Amino acid sequence: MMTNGGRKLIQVHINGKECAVFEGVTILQAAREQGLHIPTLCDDRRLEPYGSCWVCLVKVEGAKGFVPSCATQVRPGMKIVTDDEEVRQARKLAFELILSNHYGDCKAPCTLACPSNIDVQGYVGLIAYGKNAEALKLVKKNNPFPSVCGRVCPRPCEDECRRNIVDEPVGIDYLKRYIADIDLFSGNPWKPEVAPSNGKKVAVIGGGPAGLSAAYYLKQAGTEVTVYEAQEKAGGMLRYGIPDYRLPQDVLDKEIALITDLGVSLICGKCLGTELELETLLKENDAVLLALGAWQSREMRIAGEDLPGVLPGIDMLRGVAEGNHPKIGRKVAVIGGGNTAIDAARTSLRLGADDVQIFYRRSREEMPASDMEIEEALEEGIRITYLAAPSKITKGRNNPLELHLITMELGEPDPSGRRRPVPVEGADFSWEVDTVIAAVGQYTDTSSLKTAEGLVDERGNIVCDKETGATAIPKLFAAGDVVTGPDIAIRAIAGGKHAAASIGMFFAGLQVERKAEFLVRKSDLRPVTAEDLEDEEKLPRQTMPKIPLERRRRSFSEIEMGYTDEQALIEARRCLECGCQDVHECKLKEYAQEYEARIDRFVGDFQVHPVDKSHPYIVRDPSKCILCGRCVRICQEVQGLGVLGYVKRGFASHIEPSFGSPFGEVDLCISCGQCVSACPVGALTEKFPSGKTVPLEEEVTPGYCPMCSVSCPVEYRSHGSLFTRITERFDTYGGILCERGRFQNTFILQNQSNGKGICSTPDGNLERKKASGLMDSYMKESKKVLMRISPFLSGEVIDYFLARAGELGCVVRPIGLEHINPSWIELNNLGKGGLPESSLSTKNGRRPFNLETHYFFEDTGIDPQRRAALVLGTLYDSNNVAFTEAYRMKKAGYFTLWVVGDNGPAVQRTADRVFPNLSSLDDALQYAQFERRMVDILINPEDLHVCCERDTENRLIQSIGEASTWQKIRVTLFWNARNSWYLLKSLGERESPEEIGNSGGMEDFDLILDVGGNLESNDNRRVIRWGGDNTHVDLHIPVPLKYWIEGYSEPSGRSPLRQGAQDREEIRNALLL
Amino acid sequence: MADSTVREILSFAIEREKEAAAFYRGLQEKAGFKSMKTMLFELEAMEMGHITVLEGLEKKELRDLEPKKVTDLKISEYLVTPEKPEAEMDYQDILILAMKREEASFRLYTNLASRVSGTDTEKLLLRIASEEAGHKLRFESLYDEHILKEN
Repeated sequence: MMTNGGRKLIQVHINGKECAVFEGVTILQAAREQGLHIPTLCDDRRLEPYGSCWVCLVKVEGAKGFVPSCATQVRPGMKIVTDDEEVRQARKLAFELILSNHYGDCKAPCTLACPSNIDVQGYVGLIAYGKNAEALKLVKKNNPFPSVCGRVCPRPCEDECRRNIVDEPVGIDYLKRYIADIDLFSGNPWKPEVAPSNGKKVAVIGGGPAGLSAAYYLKQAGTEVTVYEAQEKAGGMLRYGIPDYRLPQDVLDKEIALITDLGVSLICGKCLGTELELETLLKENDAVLLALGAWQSREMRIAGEDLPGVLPGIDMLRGVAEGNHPKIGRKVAVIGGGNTAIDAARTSLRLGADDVQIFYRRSREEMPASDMEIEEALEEGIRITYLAAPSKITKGRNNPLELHLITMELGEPDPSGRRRPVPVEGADFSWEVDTVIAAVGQYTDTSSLKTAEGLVDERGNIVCDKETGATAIPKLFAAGDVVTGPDIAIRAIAGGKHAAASIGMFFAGLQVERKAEFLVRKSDLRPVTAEDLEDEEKLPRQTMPKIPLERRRRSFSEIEMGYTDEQALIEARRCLECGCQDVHECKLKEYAQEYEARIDRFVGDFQVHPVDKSHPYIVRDPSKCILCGRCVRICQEVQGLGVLGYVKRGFASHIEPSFGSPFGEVDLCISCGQCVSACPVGALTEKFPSGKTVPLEEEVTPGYCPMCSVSCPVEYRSHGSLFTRITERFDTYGGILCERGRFQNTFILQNQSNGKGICSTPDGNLERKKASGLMDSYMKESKKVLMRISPFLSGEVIDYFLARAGELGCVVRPIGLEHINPSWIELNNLGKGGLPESSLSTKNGRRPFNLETHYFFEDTGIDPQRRAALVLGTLYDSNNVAFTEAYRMKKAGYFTLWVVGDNGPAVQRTADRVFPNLSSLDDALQYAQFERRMVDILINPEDLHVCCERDTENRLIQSIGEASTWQKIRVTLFWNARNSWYLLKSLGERESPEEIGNSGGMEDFDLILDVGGNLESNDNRRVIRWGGDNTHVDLHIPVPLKYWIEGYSEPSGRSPLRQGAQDREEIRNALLL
Repeated sequence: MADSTVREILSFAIEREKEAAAFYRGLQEKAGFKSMKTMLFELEAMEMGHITVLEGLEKKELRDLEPKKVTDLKISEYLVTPEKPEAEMDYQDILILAMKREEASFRLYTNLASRVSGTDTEKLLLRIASEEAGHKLRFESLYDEHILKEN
């Protein structure tokens, strides 16, 4: 059967099924056509098959061993197996081999240290960009209590922060508090979306951090949740165990309210075992979550513990939280070394004690209280005696109580290596006090659950799957301290979150499980050393502002005041960005997870290379390189450059820029970023324009690049309002981009105030209605109005403003095109307006993707020896994707490629013939005449205007015009904005080309309507600016992003790329004119 | 005691272990929690294991017996024996009870040994005492780790 331009269909068997595939395609392509998934790391649609990564292997009957499917063509009758146990094992082995030499951190150590795996690097990065709302949302994905945790978390994340190696850890927790407080006290705090009801009902027993977190995530999934709390108020230990000077109850109340506001029912004063029965709850609900918390104070069990004046620590704190301040006298001894002990001691000070001493049985290193708390207690004048254990309490002579203590020392290490404290013979001492507070531990009271067989272990904790919280009793789950024993809040929050996910799986009829995420860590191969970070600048950690010490000691007012805006920005910038930029789309990570690959299968030698950040747009981390070769090949084969290449052989082989130079110093590199887009892992990644790079999950908006008239289809990637990247779309122009489209536009978008729709004047923000009024009054007051329009805007917006200009009777000028030689525009008609329309159609973006694809040059059938593409000027820089297509067509043998007036190293490599000076155009045209060639001339008039005198420009125009009389010439114009041509054409319909470029100086106008420009106001003129930033203008109107990246474009000589039609009324409402 | 035979001493010690095992068995019937029962069953089994160790000593030459070196955390010494119905005992209570019993045994054998100083019997008694100290250490270590978590 013949089809598709003579391509033949053949029959093959894939996984036992007979199917028809095109002859000549690879097994990989054939399998994809059949909807089968084969992993590959080295295959790239823009490149010829290569077969270097060896993970796409399949079995072919009759072939010895496995074959790489990407590099093996189908043959008639071929029997192929793409997926069975053997194939899977072989692929797994291939992944494990790659992983054995892949040195990096998928995720930052801080994120991994957090029990709830909050994306720390992500939110700290967002804060560095001032994207506080986005940062908060990211935190709340894993923690509904950021304001609380931002105050009380002992911050395991900061213990693992790599800045510890350089100077001090990033103030992660302070930053969390910063963004959370902004939101919480904004008057309109953010609330997540709640899914429509799923018809399920869950009872949560316990309104502490675990229970409330579970409720928060269950409710978001559409579940009806009722939280039952034994105490008068919800919050659990956060309320009753943490004093107000660390966590004001108001903050807790507000964060709890954000959970109940989602529609979670909260019923307080209901206790399991008295008001609530587990069996009844299980009957009445689709699932029940036990999140009781550890409320019982551990007794010391020493003689005299029952004397009046001996208080359990947690009971004392609870009493104070409820407003019952116990009489504790002036001298207080606290037993214990946890946060409860420290809080009890500091609370004692605030209750009036002036001599507070903590006795702890072990040494400082073993003390479970957080270091910051210990330091603050010491600052407040509390003394701590280490290695002192209580032996008994008796009545004192001068004070009510005498606490007897034994001095301890650390004994010999036991088999587990632990040095337990042992008494020092005869080193007893005593201490007379008014009050003894025992804070030696807490436990859960699970006596109400005794009847449930096997539910509670001997220590009183619930027996369940520690990962999912599922118990052996159907429908019953558990989370928080009741599972782990007394622990930190964030672990309880994580438990609640996981339990909510488990309950969701249970409702969906899925197996309840929590699979570990596949992650590569540097520490798997070699921990990071001080030497690795020696180039990092030392930057002191921002200090948390606190209330004065004297006020602290006697008041329950909150001690820490929170970072200022400036501090938060500085602190966030201290992050070392340890996690991989590619974590959300790394193919290796995805496949390793799918194939359950192990990192430690092939332990042995591995290569570590320094990270190269010298390139302005690209970070090169060769230690992550898997040698698939895509970057080397795309640079060589598609761009014709060869900036990157393999060096050395065998195991030492790796990829480097030419001559081993730093990437940023290679002249040949044109920063097209094709290498980054080809890299399947994080060895080559985009650098954010400001240099602070943040790996974030991205929303993708398809659009077009406005940066030149090629108007490439692109994907705009953002996280909330932060632009992250621009990537190519594969449907047209060969799936490539250039420096301007990929990187420079990202910079522009990251710095643009878009989307929020807030108008402003030099005096501050302005309501839209008022802005509109102000605009009217400016118009009335002005004598002569000029409207400037940017060609970067959509065709619809240009139409709209032109129409308004007509109504208002103002002069219009095209921004950046004012001085374009009008004769260029005439030239565009040469050769019947450029190319025939048929050769330019994108056919709904479904064009086959190979070297045959062409957009700017049609297949004329002319002998390549009789055809030349002549590039006039620096099109290589300004319209690189068009130039690259010319290069690819040349390589495919359609014509020879000549360049006139550009002599850069990249041009030298790609063109067949280079005429360094523009004045050589005549020579080039004479060659063409001599060789009887038809000539396609590609010109960017904007660039020519910039780089040469008007005389030269005229001469060039004249030369082309003259040559066209004796030989076949066609001219295609390219521009520096997507709608330059459209704007000029539209203006041309109103005014002659001469008028466009000659409507008087700027000084003639006292009001400038600057649509998409950057003109500044001065004493003689007012400026109203649309888009850009809001500095040095009288009124600023933001332009929504879609007007920059969507809507229609009309590049010269080509049919418009229309994408939807932007609504005129909407434009009017958005842009206010 | 000086005249007691090795056999007699060991029988005495073994009897005490059997009595301890019976004690834990008795508690199992009263314990409210299944998991507590499991723990008590393990303690019973542990005491039975001690019997095997003691029986093993009979086959050894007395003069070769040396007391084992055992760390004394001295936790038991300062704790008050729980006085509550056995059915209501929790993990902490049972650990205290167990270490108190081992402490008492340790003291008993050490006292007995002091009465026969300089004899091979002393060596045997000290060895048994050190076994009991080892049992005590085991319970104290559990107490140190799980009960005195914050102290």
